[in-house]
Amino acid sequence: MLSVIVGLIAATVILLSENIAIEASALAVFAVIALVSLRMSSNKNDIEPQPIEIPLCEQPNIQKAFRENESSYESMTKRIHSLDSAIRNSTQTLSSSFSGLGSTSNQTNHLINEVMALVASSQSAKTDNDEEHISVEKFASEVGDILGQYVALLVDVSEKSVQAVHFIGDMVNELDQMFALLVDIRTIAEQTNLLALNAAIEAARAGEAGRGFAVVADEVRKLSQDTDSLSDQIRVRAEKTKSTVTEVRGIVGAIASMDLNNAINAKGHVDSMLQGLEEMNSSISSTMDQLNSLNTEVNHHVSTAVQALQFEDITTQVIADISKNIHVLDAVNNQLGKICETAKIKEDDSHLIERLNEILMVERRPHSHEEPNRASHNEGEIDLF
Amino acid sequence: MPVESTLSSDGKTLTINISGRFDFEIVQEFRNAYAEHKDVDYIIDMRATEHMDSSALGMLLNMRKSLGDSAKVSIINCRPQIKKILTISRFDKKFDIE
Repeated sequence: MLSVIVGLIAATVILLSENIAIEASALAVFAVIALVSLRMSSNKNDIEPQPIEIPLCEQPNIQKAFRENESSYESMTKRIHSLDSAIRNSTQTLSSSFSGLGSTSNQTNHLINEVMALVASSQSAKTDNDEEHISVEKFASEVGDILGQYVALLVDVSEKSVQAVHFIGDMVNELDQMFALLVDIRTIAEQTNLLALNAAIEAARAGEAGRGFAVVADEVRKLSQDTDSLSDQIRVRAEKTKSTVTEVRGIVGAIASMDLNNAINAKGHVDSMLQGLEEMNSSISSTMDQLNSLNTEVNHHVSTAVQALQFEDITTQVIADISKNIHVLDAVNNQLGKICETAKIKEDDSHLIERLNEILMVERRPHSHEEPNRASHNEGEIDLF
Repeated sequence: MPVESTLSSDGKTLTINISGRFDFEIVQEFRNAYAEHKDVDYIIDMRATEHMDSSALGMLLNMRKSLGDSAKVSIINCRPQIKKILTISRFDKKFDIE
């Protein structure tokens, strides 16, 4: 008998750990009642004064309490089942949404890799001879090359033009020396003219004998005059040559003198454009790298979450344990009901039954209001207490 | 004078100052400035040079040609735009540009 009581108390203690403390307290009271009644029945023969005893089955609330407990166990089982299925459903939903998240992040990864491949191919297009595929980089670098060639051409033309100008300068120097020589010729002609004049004077002084010499002197004078006019003509021609050469020098100088600023600025623009493109590409690359590592992190979190979802197993186990305990409690309750049918209680101990009534009145109510949505709970029956 | 040349006291360095525009107008003066001195180091000081066109590049190349590749020719105190012109024309390979 004692072992039955101890078992009852143990079952009660198990229940105390859950949120069904009400049932536990009710059971405890039952246990006390049963103990008292059984003690009394066993001690009946030993004690001389026979106390007034009331059969427990005549107490209406006790029978109701047993029935109520029974339906409570039933509803608890149902609620635990619904809790179990809710956990299972949530776990499934979470699992599928996490696997969806995982596959989305994989797709993102794929897209990132595509973008990376595009960036890489546009970078390598510089070396490709594929005519169809002209990237901005290729175009810009071609324009840059052409501008460089243009500048080199300008410099080459200028170099040769300046060289020509130098030669023209040398030629003008030669012409200037020629003018000096022409002045010398003119001086000689003048001196010859003077000599011829002197010769003519001397010939006149010689009289008849100098007549022939006078003719020669006259001829020499004419020759000197011819030389003078000839050197004049040469000077005029040489001056014309000099002015022509000077004009050529001006033209060649104009060819040599090109404003380089536009070409230089354009080249600078192309260079900075190429640099900007390169920077953009590298920034895209680094951003994509960051995205990739973020994605890896997301994948890691997803797998951690999926791992954490295995708590379902634990809850299922706990729920099964609780269900088993409830079954045991139900059986105990059943058996206690049967015992109460034959058990009696001393009139002096009737306050124990009153206490039970109080507990049933007070403890049941808040419980029924806490979760009114649980359909398995029969509110009408509770209201009877 | 847009072109002024000064020989150092030891007679080893010829400094040619070019002020204003370095263009075709001074082609003869510039040529005379370096042609008068042989076997010296040449410094072209451009601190007062405001502008240069392609003929200046032609003049510098002709100077290099007439002096030979072994002659030391430095170009100093260039303004940014002039330095840009010299760099893009790859003159930094033929002259010491500071």
